[in-house]
Amino acid sequence: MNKRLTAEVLSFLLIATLLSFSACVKDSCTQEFTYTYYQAVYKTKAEVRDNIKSNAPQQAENTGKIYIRGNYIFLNEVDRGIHVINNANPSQPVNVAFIDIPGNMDMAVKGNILYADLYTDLVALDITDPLNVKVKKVIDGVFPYRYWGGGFVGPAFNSDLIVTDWVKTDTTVTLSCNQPGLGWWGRGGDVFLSASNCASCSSTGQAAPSSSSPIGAGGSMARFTIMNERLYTVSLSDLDVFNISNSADPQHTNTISVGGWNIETIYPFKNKLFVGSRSGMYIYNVVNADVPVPAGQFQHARSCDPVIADDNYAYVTLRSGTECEGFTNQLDIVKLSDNSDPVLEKTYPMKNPHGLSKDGNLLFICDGAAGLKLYDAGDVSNLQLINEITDIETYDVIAMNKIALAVARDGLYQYNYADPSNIRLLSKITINK
Amino acid sequence: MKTIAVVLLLLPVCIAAQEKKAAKKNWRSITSAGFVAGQSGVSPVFDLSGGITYSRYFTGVGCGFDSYQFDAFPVFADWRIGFGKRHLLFMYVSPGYVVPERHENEGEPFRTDRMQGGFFMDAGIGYRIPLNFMHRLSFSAGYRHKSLSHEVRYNYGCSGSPCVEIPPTIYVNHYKYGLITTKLSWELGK
Repeated sequence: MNKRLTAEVLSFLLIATLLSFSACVKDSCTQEFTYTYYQAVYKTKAEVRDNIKSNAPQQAENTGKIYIRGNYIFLNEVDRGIHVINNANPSQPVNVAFIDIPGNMDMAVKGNILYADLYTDLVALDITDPLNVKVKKVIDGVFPYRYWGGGFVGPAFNSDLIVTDWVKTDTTVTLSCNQPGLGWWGRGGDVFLSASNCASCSSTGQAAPSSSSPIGAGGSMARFTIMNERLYTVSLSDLDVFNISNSADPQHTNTISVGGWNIETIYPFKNKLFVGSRSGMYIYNVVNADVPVPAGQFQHARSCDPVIADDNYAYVTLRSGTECEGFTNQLDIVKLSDNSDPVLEKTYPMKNPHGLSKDGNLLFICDGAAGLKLYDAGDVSNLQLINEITDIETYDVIAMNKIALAVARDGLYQYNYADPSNIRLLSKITINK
Repeated sequence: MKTIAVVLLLLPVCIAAQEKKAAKKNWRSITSAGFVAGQSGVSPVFDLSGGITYSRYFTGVGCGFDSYQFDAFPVFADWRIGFGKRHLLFMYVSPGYVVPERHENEGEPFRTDRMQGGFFMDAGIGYRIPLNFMHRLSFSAGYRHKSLSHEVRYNYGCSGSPCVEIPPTIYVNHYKYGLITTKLSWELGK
């Protein structure tokens, strides 16, 4: 009896214990979500155009195309404008002004006129006095492939509102795990989120990767170029021609479909235009300056594709990377012919090559994190590495008159290469990231 | 819940203060297997602890395995107090820390996963069935609490050329599970 009573009591106690805790049986999950978002700052078109002038200098942060004219360096700040740097003394360059041009990705200079894009518009600026720049002309809507990425619902590019700045905010929100996430598309409108997929950052048809958001990046390789009184520009798939015989009054004269997509670069040489895309290089004959005519092409594996050329060869760098979606890292040297498609002469493996420049037989290659490399290209089938600078991550270079300007991750470097085996650093302009 | 925990923690102290009879210290190991039941289902648990018995008290340390939602390895202090002449009815409290199993990358590019442990508690009552001088079986039932968190970080590197760093996106999920546990244990020792 006692044992049975004890067993019953114990059973009761066990069941009572379980029941007493049943109310505490619960799964709970909360999620902390940390992200960065950007809120657009708007100005009217009139305000923007009134402010396209030489304003106070700004710190370089997100640089793109570089252009040299006389004693001045014009350095693109992606989506914001152009830094004006007095380089009269390459050992002591001075950042003297900033030209505010929202949405600016590229530029080209003829004489005293600088041509720049302002989102979908082309702007011609008088830079006779770089410290007192003036707008000469604006052509609306000539670059139609700009678009907003990352879920941002911005104003139409032909509207009166222009995005001029972004206010960045880092934030952490706490949600229930069952609550639909913010996502990249759930908060469009006025807010641009740091996108989970960089490919969606792109907001311009002008050769990815580039973006109108602070986290995008512009190309450091050319999409604007000038030859024979014409400004040639490339966008996603088009080649546009502007007559700049009257420099201050550019006239849009033609649009040519290149036939490929993801056009990246354009390079002029001797009545030819070399147009680089992710899948190949297209050559156009511009004997008739307003009517570029296809004159050959060279296909390569999917990759990013800066290109330069000399009398006999085109030099094409291919690189892998997120935005390029390829896996090839190499330098292709392509033999040019007047009568047939270019033919691959030789391939040199590289680490992650970007922009390049050539001065005589000296070939400069920006090999990404591997630094800046200088080759003797006298014999293209046997390039000889003369020198390399390994402690910088380089993206683009201009080499002329024994001075090489290299755009690197952390700054703009100037080197004297009068003695190629003994390159000397002259100066550095720091870029704040 | 907090009140119950405080009472359970203080109870051995109160009872110990009443103990007058001197007793010998002995070692004991306890191997347990059972189940936990929660809102999301039932999962097996295994615990192993060892320690010292002194009169009606047991103090030890232990570790275990708990596969509810996330595989985890609790490490805990193990306190038990017996009731009655032969100390057959007992109460136990096991506070500790959950060590989560390492969470591998889900296979998505740019993603890293990291699990972090948290608070662990197992408390309840049980009954021993002596088999002989050294061996006992016991049944127990109680409440188990497990906390841990899972961080998922998406690193996108840089965009374009030159490189522009894209800020990472970070999700941290904080999980708390309240479970009912039932175990069958084998106790070895005096």
